Amino acid sequence: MEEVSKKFGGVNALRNASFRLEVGEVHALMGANGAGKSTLIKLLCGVHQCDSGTITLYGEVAEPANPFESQRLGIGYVPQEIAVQPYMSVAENIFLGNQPTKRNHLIDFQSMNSGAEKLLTELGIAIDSNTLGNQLSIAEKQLITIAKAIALNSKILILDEATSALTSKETKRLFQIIRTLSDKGIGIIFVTHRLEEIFEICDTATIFRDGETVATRPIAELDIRELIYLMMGQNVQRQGAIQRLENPSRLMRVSNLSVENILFDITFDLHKGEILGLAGLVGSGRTELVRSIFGDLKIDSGVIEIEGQQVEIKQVSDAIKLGIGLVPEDRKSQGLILKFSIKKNIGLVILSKLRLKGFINASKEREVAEEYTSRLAIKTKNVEQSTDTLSGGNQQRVVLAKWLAMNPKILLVDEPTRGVDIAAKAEIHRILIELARSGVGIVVVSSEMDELIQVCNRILVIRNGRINKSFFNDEANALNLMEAAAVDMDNSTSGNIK
Amino acid sequence: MNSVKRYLSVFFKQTPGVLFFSVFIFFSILLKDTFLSIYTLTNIARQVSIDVPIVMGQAIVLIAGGIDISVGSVMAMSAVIVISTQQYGMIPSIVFALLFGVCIGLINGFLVTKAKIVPFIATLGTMSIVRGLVLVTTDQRSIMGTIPRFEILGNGNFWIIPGPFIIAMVLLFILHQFLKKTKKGRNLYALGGDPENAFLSGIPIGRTKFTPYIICSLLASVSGILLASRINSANPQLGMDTALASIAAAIIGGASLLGGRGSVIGAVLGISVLGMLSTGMNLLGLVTYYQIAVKSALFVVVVVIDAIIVSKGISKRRK
Amino acid sequence: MKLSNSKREHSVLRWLGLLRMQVALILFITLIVIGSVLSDVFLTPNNLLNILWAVSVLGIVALGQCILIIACRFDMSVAYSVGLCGIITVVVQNHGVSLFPSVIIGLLSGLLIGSVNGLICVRTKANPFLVTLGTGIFMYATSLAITKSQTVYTPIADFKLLGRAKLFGTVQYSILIFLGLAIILEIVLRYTKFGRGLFVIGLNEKVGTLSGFSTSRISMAAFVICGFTAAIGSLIITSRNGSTVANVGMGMEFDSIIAVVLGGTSLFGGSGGAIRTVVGVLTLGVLNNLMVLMNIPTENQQIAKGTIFLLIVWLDSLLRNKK
Repeated sequence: MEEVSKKFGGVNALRNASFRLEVGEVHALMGANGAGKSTLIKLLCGVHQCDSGTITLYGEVAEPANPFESQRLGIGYVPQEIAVQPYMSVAENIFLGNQPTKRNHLIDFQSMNSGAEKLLTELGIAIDSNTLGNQLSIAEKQLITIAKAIALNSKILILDEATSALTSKETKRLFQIIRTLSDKGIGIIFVTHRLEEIFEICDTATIFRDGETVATRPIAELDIRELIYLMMGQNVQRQGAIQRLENPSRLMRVSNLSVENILFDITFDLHKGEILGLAGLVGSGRTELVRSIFGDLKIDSGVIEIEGQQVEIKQVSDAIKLGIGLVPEDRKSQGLILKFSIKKNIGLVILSKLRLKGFINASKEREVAEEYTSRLAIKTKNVEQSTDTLSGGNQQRVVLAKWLAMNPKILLVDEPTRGVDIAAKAEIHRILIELARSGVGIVVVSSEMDELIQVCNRILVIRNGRINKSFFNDEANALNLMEAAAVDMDNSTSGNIK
Repeated sequence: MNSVKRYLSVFFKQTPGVLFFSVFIFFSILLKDTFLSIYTLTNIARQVSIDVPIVMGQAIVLIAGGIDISVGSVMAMSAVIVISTQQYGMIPSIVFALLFGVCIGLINGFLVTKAKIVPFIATLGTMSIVRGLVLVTTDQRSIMGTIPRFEILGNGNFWIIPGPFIIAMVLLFILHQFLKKTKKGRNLYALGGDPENAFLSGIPIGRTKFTPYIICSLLASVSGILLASRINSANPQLGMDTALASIAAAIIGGASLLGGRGSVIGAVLGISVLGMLSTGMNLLGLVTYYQIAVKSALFVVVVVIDAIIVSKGISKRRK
Repeated sequence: MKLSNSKREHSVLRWLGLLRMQVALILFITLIVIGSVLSDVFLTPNNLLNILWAVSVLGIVALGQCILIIACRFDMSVAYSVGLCGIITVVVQNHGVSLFPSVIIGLLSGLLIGSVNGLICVRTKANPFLVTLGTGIFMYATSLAITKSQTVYTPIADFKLLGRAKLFGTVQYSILIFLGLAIILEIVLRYTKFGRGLFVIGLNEKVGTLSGFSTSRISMAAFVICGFTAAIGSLIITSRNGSTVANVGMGMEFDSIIAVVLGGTSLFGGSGGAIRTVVGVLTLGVLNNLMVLMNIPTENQQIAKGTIFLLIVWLDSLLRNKK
């Protein structure tokens, strides 16, 4: 492969971005959420087509109109969510749709199996080619998907957040395989949030910000701080401006909380009126931490105290009774019943309170829904509108309304502004801050350091299931947060873990 | 722990075989002379072989992630056609019946892939229509065959081997080869196993969804013809419980409602287990209803064990 | 220009959506209009009551089925619980149990059947369709064993009143029970937390769990209700006939699903209602009645029914995909 370059104009997602991949190069695509990485990948995979600009492959124009064409052009894509055939062997999975046949048109299993084995040994993947798909771990599925792409003679391999679900051992193995591939002359596009990884595996990094290419540099010329700086732009040094709480009164204490293989010995306090941020990489355990407090994930050990009382949260309804709410990370599949109206969604948690002699009081339900619709400025004609017709920002407000309606003491919020526009984002931040002022303790999980700095009093950085470092707002900036998410720190934390 | 799970799932994969042999050995020991006689065994083989095509058809639809409720009606109607068109000659009557099967298969396939109706509902509709056709053409009475030669198909023997058994085995061989060794066959598994992955692997989804319904209805016709030949008659009550029985046999044989799993060999073993249970319990002097109870209980147990293994597997993977 | 275009499109969509919601009702009304044109007797109160009476047992069973389908589950065993519960009632009557206790026992056996179905499905997460298929046939065997495959007759004359007697000499009790049950279940679906929970688990169990619903308890209760309605249906049909056999409800598993789907309830769960199911059941009833009045032979009725059913679901799927 000689060169891949592409330019776009006019589109907001990507503005005149260009990118060049050499033969046998491992090239990192970096950038904050929404910087344009995934749009670029979708163009390469034929999911979207570019409005302007060109993609060239070996010097020839190549613009895949659909995923098949992209495959045929030699672009292999290993997505974040991997699917394999559960009841087919590894060998069959690798060759599905592309099986070798004998002269009588029957599938040649012998050559398929030996082909698979040869491929797996070549790549250094130690998986028996007879294993069934459903017995593979996520890491193994990933390797099989890679092998499948190679079997199709891919010249470019795109790995999208390949390591976010892997253990460090599995990651090491993946890296070995990536090296083998690049030795064979296959160009690899590596997308990850984990900064430290790219120093280990990549040759070059291209950094995107707001849909534009900021820089393409050899890794050897970069260090982690510079990388963060390039990703975040001017904002990186922006210090938080939120005061420390004056006389904090403790609302919840979580001590020594552990969940098998995911969270280890987590201890922290949450105060009344405080917004506590949980920073960390995808897969670091942030989401699992709030889930386990909410009773959706079984805790192996640890104690939760609320207002000084030790509480036992075995299931979600226990948490709700204690006044804990959770705005989950994926509003479409976990937060909302999309086919329900705004009214019914808002009423979901408080149905018991809406009852009058055992029956749901329809007018009260409507009243509550209307109250919160106007309080949170949800743009809609009326509360009977179905939520699948709302914009992302409005949907997220409905999820918030659903929990505000129960008057929570503690609100756990996971990625509150993912996929919403800037205006809605500011509005959601305002709502959270206002809520905290009224005395609610809020835990915000977010991948966006900027967001945490804008709303949180205190920020805990989770890394590999442990609290790696903790900051007061005035100590935090994107640079040191990112650093704490990417690199192990010593335990001398400045934020208080009393 | 992992090895235990692997062992369990391997064992379960072989369950149809294990079940088949345990039932066989059980009755052989219990009823030495009566069960292990050539007469009994050929009788079971003949009985079972008549149902084999229909069960294999159901298994193929299930593998591709669908379901066909109409098989019983199609079987009955094919029997009616093959008997009532005998005046045109034996071969034409058989061809008519098979053509009918193909037609219903086309309709089912159309309803599922083009009209995008859920397979369960679509075939439920055709089931009702075809059953109506059966009632209309028979005028709710039994009809008798006029060509005695026709009986050979269902009742004939080659040496001591029942004719239907040979037909069933030939079909089994062909379908097994098709499912396991052709691209089209593997595509059915891929479609049922993970449609998204199948699509991304470049498998033509529409066509792959369509074919199993044609195969299944055609096979239901074959069963209908064999059945009609065995009794050289047809009646409107034929195949009333066949839809459910064929699903049960296919599931016992390792298929799953979720698709992607199962085999025609498993399905044949499944129906054989049920056949042996019937005959064996008959010989033991157990009344029909005990037989039904035992068979249905076995079915529930298989379904439940399967569900437990699947959900265990999932929770393992999540960790 | 563009705006007005999209606006028109929007109203077309809404119209289509409305049509989709009301396919069953439109069909129902059309059938009634056709009926009144074609036949003088059709619109007479007597004939209308006849229709209601004829479908009331299927209707009651379909109501239970509808509850499960809303929660995205099935009960294929209803056909045989309709047999078994009646048989148990009649058999205990023959052993000297008097009217009321025997009826209670019949209803309790329905609850028990529902609980067993629910327990197996909830605990093992096995597919409800398959489980109830199996338990249904098991119940059939049980019925055969209890009755020795014979018809059993009730010794209590008053028992026959339940299915035959009329309130004020005009409306059969079974019709009242059917409609009453429909109203109760409609209220439950609309105005109780449990009812809302059924829709929630039918659409998205995860959201249900994360909103504090106990999904296993809701699904369990749905099975129990379905068992209970099947028992009521069973008692009525038994009382109407004065006797019962194991296969008295044969085919009802499919017919009840057909009725529910005709009423506009989606098999994917999360939509539908009890009154809609009544419309679906009545559509079937009117169709039957019309065909009888028009002297269409019974055999052809089944073909017509099947065809109309398929056309309706096809239309439904067309409209859905348009959207």
